[in-house]
Amino acid sequence: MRNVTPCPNWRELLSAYQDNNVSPKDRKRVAAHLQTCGDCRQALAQMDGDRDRFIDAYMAPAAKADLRDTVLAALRADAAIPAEQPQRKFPWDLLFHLGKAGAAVTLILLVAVFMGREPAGNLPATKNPSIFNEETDTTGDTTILLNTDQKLYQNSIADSYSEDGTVDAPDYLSPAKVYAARVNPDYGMNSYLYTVDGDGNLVTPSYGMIDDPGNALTLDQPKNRLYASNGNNPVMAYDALVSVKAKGSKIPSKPAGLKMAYDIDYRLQVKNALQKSRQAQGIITGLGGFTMNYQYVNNEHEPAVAAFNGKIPAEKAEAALAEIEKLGNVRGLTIAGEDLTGQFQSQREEIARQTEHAKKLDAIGSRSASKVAAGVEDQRHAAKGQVNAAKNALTGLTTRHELVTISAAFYEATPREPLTLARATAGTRHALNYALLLLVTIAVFFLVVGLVAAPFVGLRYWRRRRMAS
Amino acid sequence: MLTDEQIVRRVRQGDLDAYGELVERYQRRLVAAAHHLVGDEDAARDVVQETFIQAYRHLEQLRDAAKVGAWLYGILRHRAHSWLAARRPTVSWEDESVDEWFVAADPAERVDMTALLAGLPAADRDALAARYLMDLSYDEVAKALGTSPQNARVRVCRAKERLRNLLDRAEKEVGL
Repeated sequence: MRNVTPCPNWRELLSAYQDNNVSPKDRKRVAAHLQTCGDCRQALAQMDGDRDRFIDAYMAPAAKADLRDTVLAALRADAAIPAEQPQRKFPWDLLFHLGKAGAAVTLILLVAVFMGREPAGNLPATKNPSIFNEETDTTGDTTILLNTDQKLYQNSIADSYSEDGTVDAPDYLSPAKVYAARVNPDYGMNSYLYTVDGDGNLVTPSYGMIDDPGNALTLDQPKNRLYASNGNNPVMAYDALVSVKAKGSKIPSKPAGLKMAYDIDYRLQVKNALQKSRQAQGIITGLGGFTMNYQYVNNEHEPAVAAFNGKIPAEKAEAALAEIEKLGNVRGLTIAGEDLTGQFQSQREEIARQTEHAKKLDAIGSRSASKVAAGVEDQRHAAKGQVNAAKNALTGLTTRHELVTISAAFYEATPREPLTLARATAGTRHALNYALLLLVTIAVFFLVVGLVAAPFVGLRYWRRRRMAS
Repeated sequence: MLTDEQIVRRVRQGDLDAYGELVERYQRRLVAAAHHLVGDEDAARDVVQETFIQAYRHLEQLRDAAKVGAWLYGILRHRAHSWLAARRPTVSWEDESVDEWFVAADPAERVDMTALLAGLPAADRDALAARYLMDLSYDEVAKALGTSPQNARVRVCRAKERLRNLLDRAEKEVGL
């Protein structure tokens, strides 16, 4: 039979028509086409013939197939024997692969950490700041910074002293009233010697060290004179009464008949220096005082410092000290007193003397005009100027006497971060470090899991290979 | 006579005999299709038996019971391909020659159809088995072959044309 090819546009449709898989509309179209196209009619007939031959070729042998009993017997046997439940296998392979991934990530992270670690010794020093050291201010007054852990102990210093101010003989002061204070060496300070009065108040600073027996200070309490000696030779003498007190001590009572002025200097350790300084200034002004100046130093890698100077009525000084001491950890308190009695007296005498002098010059000036030409008038004005100057000085002394000078410095123990940006960078670095630590932890976990799984995976591969062989 | 859905419902309720009815209904078509796919009559029976057993075990995966024939053919294809993959070294379709088709004096009977049709490409064998032997609709053929109905229609058409060409060539060779 000649192999007939259907019309190219009708191939698929003719095939579907033969399979009875066309829409009614297409069925009508194909039927109409078949009436007019002989080739397509023959092609369809060939397709029918091919289909029949194809089906016969396979269906004839299959007709004798009878699998029912075989299948059912197999299924019954399968049901009689409890079906082997598919065992949930532990995913050793998965763990092994996770372990490999964990090992790779761990290696990468360790390399990253090693490459990105900060060089050693680059961190800012965090040692105790040097606020405990002894300092000398620009006025020459000695500032003693007492540690609150200072130890007071009786020291039988009885150095050379004589009533006229020369140091020539020991045993002038009663040993019971002279003490030495040694600063706790744990704070890295030198063991300076201080003399303390019988009430426990440190009254003198010493530039000599305890280990140096040649240096010692002695105090003439009745005269408020202080002597330092180096062996048998006087080194220095102070005319002012210098009183240094520890935390909680009181302003020394003024000796009877003396016009005393006190300067109080605080050193406090706080967490926020600027904030505490402002609070202290509020305390001063709240008690009727005033602030003269203040400053705030905040250098990189150094503890921030805020300090101020002010005045406060003498009767309010004790209350101010009590309030300020609450603001932080008192590391030092210096109360320096000065006897103004003599200065008051000298200024009054100066006023009287210059006033009397001016009166005499007035009398001269009124009698003779020629005297005026001789400069008497100028001398009279000068004398009146001296009177006014002495009066101003007296006013100043009165102010010093009635107003206590109070200054306070607030220190932060921890050095400040250099810049806000650097602080933010440090915060980010910390966050990244924590994230890195978390990643390393996870990676190491998978690494361990992989190591555990590796023998099982290897065993399985070995079994498979043995079975395959 | 029970419909396919009714049989499947009974089987799912635990009626194994109902499954026997399903086996009887489809075994011949499946054996014929398996024979066409694997080219070996005995192996075809084994493949079909495995197909029925596997189908029973996974009957819960049958979504549309009305199309159980297409579903069974889908399982059969996988089983047949697995069998072919396992036997590939010993089976070579290309070794068949027209000379071996001469088995009878009558030219029409000289053609060993199954050996001849084994020369069709696998894709065409799939399509022809699904369409002619399993009598599946184009939608079902598409489902069984994992393709679209339109593509199934094209593949069936192409398979028919190749079948025609193969038969035409054989007829000319043996002088039909």
